[in-house]
Amino acid sequence: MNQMQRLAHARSVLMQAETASGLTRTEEKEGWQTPEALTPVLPSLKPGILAVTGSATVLLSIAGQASSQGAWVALLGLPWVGWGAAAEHGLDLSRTAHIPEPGPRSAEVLTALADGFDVIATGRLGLSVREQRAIAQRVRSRGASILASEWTTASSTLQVEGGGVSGCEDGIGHVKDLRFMVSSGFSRVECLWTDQGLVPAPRILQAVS
Amino acid sequence: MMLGTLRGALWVPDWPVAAAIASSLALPESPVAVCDTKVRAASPAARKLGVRQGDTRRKALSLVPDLLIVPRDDERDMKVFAGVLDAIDDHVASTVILRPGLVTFGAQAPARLAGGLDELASALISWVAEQAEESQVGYGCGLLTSILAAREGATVPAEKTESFLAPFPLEAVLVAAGTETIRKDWTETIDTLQSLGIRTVGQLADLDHGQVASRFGLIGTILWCLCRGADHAVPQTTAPAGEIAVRRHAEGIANEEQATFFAKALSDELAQKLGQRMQVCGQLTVGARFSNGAEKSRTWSVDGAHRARDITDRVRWQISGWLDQRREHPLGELIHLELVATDLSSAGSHQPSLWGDRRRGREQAQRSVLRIQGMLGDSSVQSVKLTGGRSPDSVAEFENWHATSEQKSPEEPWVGAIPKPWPSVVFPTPPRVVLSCKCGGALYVGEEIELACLGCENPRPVSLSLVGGKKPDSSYAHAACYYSSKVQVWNHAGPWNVSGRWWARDAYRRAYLQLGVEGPAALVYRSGSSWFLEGIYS
Repeated sequence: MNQMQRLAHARSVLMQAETASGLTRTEEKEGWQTPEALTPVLPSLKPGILAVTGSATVLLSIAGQASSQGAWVALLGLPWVGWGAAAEHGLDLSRTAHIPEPGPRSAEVLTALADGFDVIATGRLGLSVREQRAIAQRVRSRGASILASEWTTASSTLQVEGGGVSGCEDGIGHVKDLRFMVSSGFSRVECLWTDQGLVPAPRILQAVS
Repeated sequence: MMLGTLRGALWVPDWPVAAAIASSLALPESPVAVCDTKVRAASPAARKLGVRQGDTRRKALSLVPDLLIVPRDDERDMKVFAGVLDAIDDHVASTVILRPGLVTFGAQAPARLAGGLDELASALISWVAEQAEESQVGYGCGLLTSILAAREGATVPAEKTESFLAPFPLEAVLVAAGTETIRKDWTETIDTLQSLGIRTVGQLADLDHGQVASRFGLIGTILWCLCRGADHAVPQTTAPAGEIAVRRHAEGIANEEQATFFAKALSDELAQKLGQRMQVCGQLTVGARFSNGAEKSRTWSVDGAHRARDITDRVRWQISGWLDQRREHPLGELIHLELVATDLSSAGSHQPSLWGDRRRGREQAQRSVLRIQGMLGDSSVQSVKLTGGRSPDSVAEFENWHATSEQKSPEEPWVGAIPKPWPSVVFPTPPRVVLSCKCGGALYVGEEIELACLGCENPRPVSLSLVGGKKPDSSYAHAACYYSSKVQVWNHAGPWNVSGRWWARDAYRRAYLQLGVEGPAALVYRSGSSWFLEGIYS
């Protein structure tokens, strides 16, 4: 074994020891842990592009979950983020950069972010398909993840549909939970956004007649 | 007896006073004292009149009414001393600064080079004299011996070390104390020793090492070693307040390619200088002058950068950022560039971790943010701070990015806040909306904070539509993708009265309403005579 091989070996031993003792998460190798309610459709957040269409809440909750595990998160072109909700989702603001208006140079900005941040949540950036492909390539090679609310060439997509609110009626009460139907290519899950965060929706028992 | 190596010491008497005089805060002949609450140093003229180090300020003034008092300033002492150091640095390797005004060095090699101990001493004194400082040089075996010898301007031969040191009172050891804390620790031990009857250096040196060590621990051992003329590892202090600068005139640089080339040449030069000194810099200041006379300067925090590539990148980003800005503010061509590396430390102390960097950290994030700031300007990247508040749009404050922010989440409950969960989409400039009643009339909020309608007695919102579709406001565009046309309202909650930020200039009073609509639920508020869409539960 030469020196480099020995270093690599030592690193892998250390990695195993850290993983076994719970010092680092096993998920780190395969990506970031996702909110429990979403695991049926998204077991982990892997490097690459994930498009999340139709819900800012689900987008922020995935980013927030990664941030609470230590990820550095950048929000690019999302001037409308509700910071109160983002913090509830676990976003650690000391490790978060906010770039509300990237302007016409968003492709360059995104490339620069991929070098330094783990998770990049993006809004509408107006990238061409060609730019998108180039960035996707780079992001994968850097091990970063992009959570895009708009991305035409994304390899994986979560489609979210809102399912109404409960808790208020005729001026009485207040919004208690919001129902979301999240579907990836194969599976589909229902979850609720409450003041406790994103939770799996309780199964509605259907009466068998 | 274990004697230390032959060391030399260079001592400038009353350094704080000498520094004050060198900074033209005082005249050399007049009585001067450098004081905080007590006299730290006094000039010979003041000493002649009875002022002693350690006197209170008041006592000193009562002794010499026209005494000039200069406030103590450690930074000034350091800075002026750096000039003296430069004078001796060229001739003596491996100097150790005990404190401003006192340096020791290994004497063997430089003395050989200078042709003898006395020759070295006289050369050093004349070099320092060129800096307009009077100094004394002495030699001896071990740290304490050399310092005490310097005070007398003597050379103590190895065999006479013991007899030279023995008669000194024990407090004399304090001259070898590098910092205030060490001095304090040593003073305590010396006080104890004195109360036990050990009053001179010789008496302490005669004791058995084991006994001293068992009773006085590490400090006792250090003092005992010093008193026997042995070496004591002094914390190696590098030159204070150092900086390395390189500068160059340019032929007029107008585009990015030329700038890259130029930045590379200059960065290489800086990196080479850093390499020669075996140092890395913590901060890099890029200063540029443009053909219209404008000067720009920016300091980058570059943790331990020393490779040419690290420096080149930053300089290149900065220059191209400046050149880009020219469209708005014409600066002309770049004609002069200066790079200053400050916050220097020795290269060995900065090493990437042995185990590799598996995850990204502050440094990488900082680096990519700096790159973006170079492209879009400083305010383009923001740090967010939660301040807490009653409504979703008032909880956060934005600052230009800085990676060192300590996050403290405001835990106090905000009485009268909008119930959680809060909307994930909050518009920075809320678009106006119209809320209509089932009778077709416009809804408003009445005196009692209740929904009221212009047209009927029993108000009930049924539809929501955005106003001002022609405005090219980005907030409107975001809202429009949720509610492109008139949307139906299924149910509602509220209104609640929220008075926010009453302590600040931008205080407001609003009535909030949550709306369950076709599509994602909405949070709207009434302010003045309009409804605004604050956020969307998307």
